[in-house]
Amino acid sequence: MWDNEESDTFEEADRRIDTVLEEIYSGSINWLFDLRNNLLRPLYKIDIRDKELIVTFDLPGVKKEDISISATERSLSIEASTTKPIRLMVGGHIQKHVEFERYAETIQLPAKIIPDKAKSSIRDGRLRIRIPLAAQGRLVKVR
Amino acid sequence: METKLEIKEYDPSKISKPTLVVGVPEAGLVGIIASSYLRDQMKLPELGYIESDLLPAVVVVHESKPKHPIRIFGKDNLAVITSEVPLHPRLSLELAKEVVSWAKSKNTKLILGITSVPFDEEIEGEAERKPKVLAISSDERPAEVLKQMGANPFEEGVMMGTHAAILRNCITMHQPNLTLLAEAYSKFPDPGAAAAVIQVVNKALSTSVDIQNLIKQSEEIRLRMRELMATTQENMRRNVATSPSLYG
Repeated sequence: MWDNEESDTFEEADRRIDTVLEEIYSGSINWLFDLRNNLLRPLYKIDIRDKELIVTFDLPGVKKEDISISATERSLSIEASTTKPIRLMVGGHIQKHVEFERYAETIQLPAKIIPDKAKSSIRDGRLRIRIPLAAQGRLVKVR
Repeated sequence: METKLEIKEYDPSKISKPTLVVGVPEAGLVGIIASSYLRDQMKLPELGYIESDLLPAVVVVHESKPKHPIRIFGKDNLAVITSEVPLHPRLSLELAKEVVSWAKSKNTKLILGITSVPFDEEIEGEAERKPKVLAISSDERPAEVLKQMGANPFEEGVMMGTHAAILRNCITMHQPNLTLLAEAYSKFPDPGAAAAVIQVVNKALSTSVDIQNLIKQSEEIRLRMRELMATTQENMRRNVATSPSLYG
């Protein structure tokens, strides 16, 4: 069905995916929790548009008044308390119940932003932060 | 290519001429959330599982019992396949081929695939969110029939992933297929999109599964499924990196 080169690529991809899945299931790269500080790390996504950067955090169980956001030119930090304690099964080989009351995350941004001009909105526990990109680049003359 | 996947039924007489619902972890986990909810609400017993040496070395444990990650549930001419692990490309292709062959051997009336398309947040606006559901069928059901089910016909575009492979096999093997794609937040578990798709399923299959519990459990599901979402996202990222180019 596939020629050798494609088959090799497929097998290599399969091996890499298996490694990642096994690492995740064994808990060795379980970045969704900070168990030492009893924190949940939220799922998030970053979209870069022409003039702005949009970061969306998934924060189920959080209200607008319980979120604090801070930003620098290259990073964004959020902290949020949950309306009630969240009990989750956590762990790698052996799972156990852990109770969380707070989310926290700091992310390094892929582009320079203007932190003072960030705007945020939240709906259904999905926090959306829009931040203008810092002006960059110059016109290049074509000779 | 040697087949590396087997469908095992505990009692083959239990599944005959079914409608087969398939939900696997993809964008927004819509398929797995919706199919698991249907299974739970309809109290469908476990009837079998799918074994493959292409599956990662994983067993899931529920209430102290080890379980296969891909299982078959069902009763009364309804069967549901759910996967609790993301499927990598080769496993997707094998699963699609074998599931459709098995469905044919069971005289399956319809394979109903549940999946998603990315939700365009830019046009979301401030109004209350009502995820749309797109539908595509192998037997070219008229647009009017799809609209009566509360779905919009999927007219142009490209589908990727396990359900695309299933649909392709269905076309080849003349197996009726209806695939529902709910608009979903692709990187976050999206029970709202799963609820929207269940309303269409109710009309397509003449069932009456109440979505209220799903809405009520929405926050809990989003929290419980974070890890599966993270592994699925990683898997999807790698799938895209290894997909053959559309015009290649």
